[in-house]
Amino acid sequence: MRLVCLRRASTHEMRSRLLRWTAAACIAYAFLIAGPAVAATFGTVVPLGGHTSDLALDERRGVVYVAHFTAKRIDVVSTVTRKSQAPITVDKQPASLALSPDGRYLVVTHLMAAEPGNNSVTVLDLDANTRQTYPFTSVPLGVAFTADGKAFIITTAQFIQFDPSTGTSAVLGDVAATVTLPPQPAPCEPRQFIRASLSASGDGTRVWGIADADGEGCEANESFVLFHYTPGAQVPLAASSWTASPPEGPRVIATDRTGAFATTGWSLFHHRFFEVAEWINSSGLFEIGGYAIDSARNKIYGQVAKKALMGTTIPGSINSADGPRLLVADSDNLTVREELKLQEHISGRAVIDSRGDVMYAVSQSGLMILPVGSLAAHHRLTASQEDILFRGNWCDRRSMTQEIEISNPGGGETPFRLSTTMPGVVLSATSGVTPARITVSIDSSVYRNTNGTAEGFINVNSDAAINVLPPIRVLVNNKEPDQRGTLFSVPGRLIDLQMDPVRNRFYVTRQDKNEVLVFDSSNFRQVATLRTATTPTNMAITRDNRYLIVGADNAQVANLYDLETLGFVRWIVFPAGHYPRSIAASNGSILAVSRLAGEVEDCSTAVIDRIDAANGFATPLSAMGVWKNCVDPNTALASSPAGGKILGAQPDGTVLLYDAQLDDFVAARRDLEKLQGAFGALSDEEFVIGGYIFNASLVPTQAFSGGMSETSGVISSRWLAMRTTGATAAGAGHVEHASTTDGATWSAARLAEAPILPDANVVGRTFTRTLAFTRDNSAYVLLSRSGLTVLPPDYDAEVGLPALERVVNAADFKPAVAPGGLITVFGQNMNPVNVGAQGTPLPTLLGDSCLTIDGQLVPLVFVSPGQINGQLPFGSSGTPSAVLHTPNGVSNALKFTVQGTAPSVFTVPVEGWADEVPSIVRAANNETVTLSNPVHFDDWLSIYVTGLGAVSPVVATGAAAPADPLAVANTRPEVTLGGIRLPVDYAGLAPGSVGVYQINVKVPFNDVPTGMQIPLTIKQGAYETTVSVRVVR
Amino acid sequence: MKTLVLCLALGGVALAQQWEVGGGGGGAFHKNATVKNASRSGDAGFKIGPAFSAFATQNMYEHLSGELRYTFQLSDMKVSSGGAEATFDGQSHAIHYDLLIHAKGRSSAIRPYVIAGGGGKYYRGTGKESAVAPPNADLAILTKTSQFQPLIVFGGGVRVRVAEDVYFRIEARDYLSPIPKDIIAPVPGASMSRWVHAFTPMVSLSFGF
Repeated sequence: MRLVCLRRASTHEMRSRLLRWTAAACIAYAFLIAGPAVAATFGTVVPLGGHTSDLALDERRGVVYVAHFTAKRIDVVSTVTRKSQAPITVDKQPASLALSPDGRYLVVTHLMAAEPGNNSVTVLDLDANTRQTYPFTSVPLGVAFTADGKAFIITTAQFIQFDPSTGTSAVLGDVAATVTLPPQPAPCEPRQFIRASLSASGDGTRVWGIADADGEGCEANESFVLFHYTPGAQVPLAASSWTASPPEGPRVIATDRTGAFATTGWSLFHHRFFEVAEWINSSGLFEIGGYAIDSARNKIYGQVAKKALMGTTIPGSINSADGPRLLVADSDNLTVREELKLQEHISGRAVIDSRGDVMYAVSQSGLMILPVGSLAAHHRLTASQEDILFRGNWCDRRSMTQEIEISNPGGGETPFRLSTTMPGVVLSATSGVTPARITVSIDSSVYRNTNGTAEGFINVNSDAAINVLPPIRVLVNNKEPDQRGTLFSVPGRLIDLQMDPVRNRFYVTRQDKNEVLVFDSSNFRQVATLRTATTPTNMAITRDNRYLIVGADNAQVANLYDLETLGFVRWIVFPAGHYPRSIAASNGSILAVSRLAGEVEDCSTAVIDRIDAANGFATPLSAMGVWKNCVDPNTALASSPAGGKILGAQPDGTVLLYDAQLDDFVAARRDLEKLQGAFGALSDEEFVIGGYIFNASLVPTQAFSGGMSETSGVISSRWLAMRTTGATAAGAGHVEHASTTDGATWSAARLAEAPILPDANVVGRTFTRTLAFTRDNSAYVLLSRSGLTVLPPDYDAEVGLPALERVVNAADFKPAVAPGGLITVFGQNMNPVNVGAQGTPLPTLLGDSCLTIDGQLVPLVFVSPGQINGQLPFGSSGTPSAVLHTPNGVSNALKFTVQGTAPSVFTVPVEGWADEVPSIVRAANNETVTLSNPVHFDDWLSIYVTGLGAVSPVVATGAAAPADPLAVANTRPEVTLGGIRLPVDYAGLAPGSVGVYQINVKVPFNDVPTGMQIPLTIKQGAYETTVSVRVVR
Repeated sequence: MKTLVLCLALGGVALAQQWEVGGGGGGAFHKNATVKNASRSGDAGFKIGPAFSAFATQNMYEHLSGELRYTFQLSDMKVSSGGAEATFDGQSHAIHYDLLIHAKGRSSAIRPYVIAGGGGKYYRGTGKESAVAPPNADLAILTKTSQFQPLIVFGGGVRVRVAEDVYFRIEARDYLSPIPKDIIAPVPGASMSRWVHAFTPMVSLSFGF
């Protein structure tokens, strides 16, 4: 419903808005007659020739009723033909309407009520084709039906339950008695509602509403009232008053299936009236936007006017900067997953049909029909990666290539264009049709002198696609041998890093996707994702190491997660207007710095809240010791390792100290004019902020030497402090040891790329916590430009040349290896840290190492200081030489023998068994054969091996084996069990894997020896291998 | 063909002797095998379970009867040691011929007797197999397979005439068989004692003709 133009107290404003709508319509019309739009858009617009204000979907009759305000009629649009049918004329301007659950009554409220007596509601009996108009004592502003068949109507003065079958009304409450209207600047005295929007839940149990209050002398303001009505509840009417900046626009509301949540303006509210998420970058324009919630799919389809539109002369102009967009967002935290181009702006209520297939929305021209359930049928684009990270290859520095796949999520053929302005980047094609694999090549000579990682973008555009694809980030790192650290690509805006004190994990907040990324600290692979509230900032782990608390800058809640299960436990609800940014857990309290949305007791910036994690709420401290509880919103909190203290750092140089034993603040001082960058409480007595060391009273006692102005991370590592610093002329950044006694620094090493540095424009990055030491003391992890940089503990140690000792197959570690098989190279001083490959094709540079065999690059699976696994190229034969290239130099050339075929059975660990078992899987239960899951007569078995040699059709080295056609081994193996030959159904590469072969055999119905250790032998060519399995009948 | 011959033989005898047929139920209590490896030992065998039986008795002489009996025991298997126990669904089907030596003559209302006989027992593991090692996997593994073992039966009981040609029996048998090592399989490095006893008290009702 859009009522803003018809404020009873301001007919001038109404005329002004009508003029603007008319102008917008004229521009849109002129644009349309000038020629067809070039770019595809989503949905269909049904122009209705005027201003529409509300709609209702009648699925039984297959029509949408649209309140045509200016034409005094209800337009009826077929959902099948999408054309207008005979309209229903009404006596007065229809402002809002609602259809009863049984589809019989269409209730229309009329708003043109400047004169007494015009306040009325019309009931259209759609079954009997009759109508009846009922006068109201105050202006009806909105209507919605509940499941009991009664209409809930809000007027300027009352909440009313209205029975459309009898025309009787029951007053549920007076506005003045039910709602505390928001305070207004004098001389305004809000007295009544002037506009409202209602939305009934899908099950009809609750009606949500948003309303504006007004009175004599009031100007347009940022206040509103949020309420909901739940028939049969102990307190049926509940309301809450708010102010918002920017204003909560659009002034339309939508709720979900049960009424538990509602979104309006740029917020998502819980039914207990706390804000759980926000639409980002909303301008708050009232006239643009609308939402529909698909509870079955946990999606919200909506539009909010972006900030760029604030200055637009004609809101919603088709020529506006970024055009109208339908956002497809997650329903819990409003993470936008897709942006769809619209023909024009949504401008009021939107509804979605019961199957979630089609969304209908009031739009600038009348009605917009959006088939959201059949997005797959439209041209869309998606890219296989958000980021492409190129790293200097020690084996071949001339050029680097990677592939990206541009596809249509629905599987269709969508034309697209690619462009980039990044120097040295060459695309194999600048246009194509999905699905397409594009090779991105980098001329590394362009980046030879790059001190770290260069960044650029590949833009993906399509006139045919209805969605907008964000550019693909290209990162090029061409580090020198003395630059330390192994890079791991982690896309997104990474903010905070927390190491789990008791688990081999660490946590990183990814702000742009509202996530906490959970990494395994033994291999740096992401193992889980936690969904957060909007714009996550800092994290804290409770002192019992059981829970993780994550603050958010655009939600009035913090999220609590159980680290044992990695499950969401509950919201911690903050007082209205408090946005928790930085959190620290001590032995006393858990404190949070909360940005304030308004002024609270003379503070308009931020306060310290105390968190009650067990009960899920936070309350502001009455005072910070002897100081007033009012801090900078960018204040960062950090607890000491023992939990005795919490350090607070403010950008203006103020530092704060909380004592857990006293449960209060004991120090606050300002000795420096500015602070930013790395911060940490290294102990209860030593603190570091930026380049300064503070003592137990927070007196700055030393500045770190070295003259490096920007700092990123600091930790207490064993007996020393470690810190990372930003770029200088000498490099992308440094990692170094530091003394908190005298500020001396030493063992500085250049980093492979710059760590994340302070950025006042990014929430949570004024002070940075980007460095951590893994729980098992195996590596340092730091947040850096392309994601993570990992350093060994002895990053500064002199490392000898890599030395190769032996080459074996990766299945049973025997010397027999064959082309295309997986091999293991054992040696010393190999890759500094453990790194595993992710995805296919396998990289030829993994971590900091690359391996060649007779000059041919080896696709790598895993690298570590003592072992490297990779795929022996299919073309290998004879006695080739293996050579390893690392930052420390080039290894010896190790000769080994390649056989034509060398089948070797992989072994795998199985829970509960001390020894690994042969990787043989029974098809009967899809589990590995063990003593407790023995081979039975008549079983089908899949044996996983390596070394079956060449295959047909040929598969590229490093590429995943295809599923269709299967890559069959050229030499068929023989398999016997207890001496009985087993029919081989298939022998070839296992689809989807690299270097892993699969042999499928059938065990006969009888005549196979039984026992605990029956030999299973695979013979292929001149080589055979035997493992033992248990066989029973 | 063998079955046919047996039926004919029984049928021939029946013309001259009194017969009883009946059935009953009870429970099976096991004395299980000991399984051990180099470092520890445990119990391997069966848990307590219900037992059901059907039989046909031939009263051959005044104090001697012969009885063909089928017994079904629904006893899960187990390997227990040190407070940990692995279990697996299991059952057995026994068929055996017993001689019953009665203390009193045919006409007595109450006839105590002792039992001795033999036959075979078909064991089946019916649980769900899993690759994951069960408890006590270093001793023995319970397996989904079947195995036939010879059977020796001892026991005793009393038959009470409760009506004309209707008898009530209380009896107990010890089903003694080698432990089925395909089903309860000692792992390499472990050894297991040979026999398992299933003490099976039962009550039954039979009808004479």
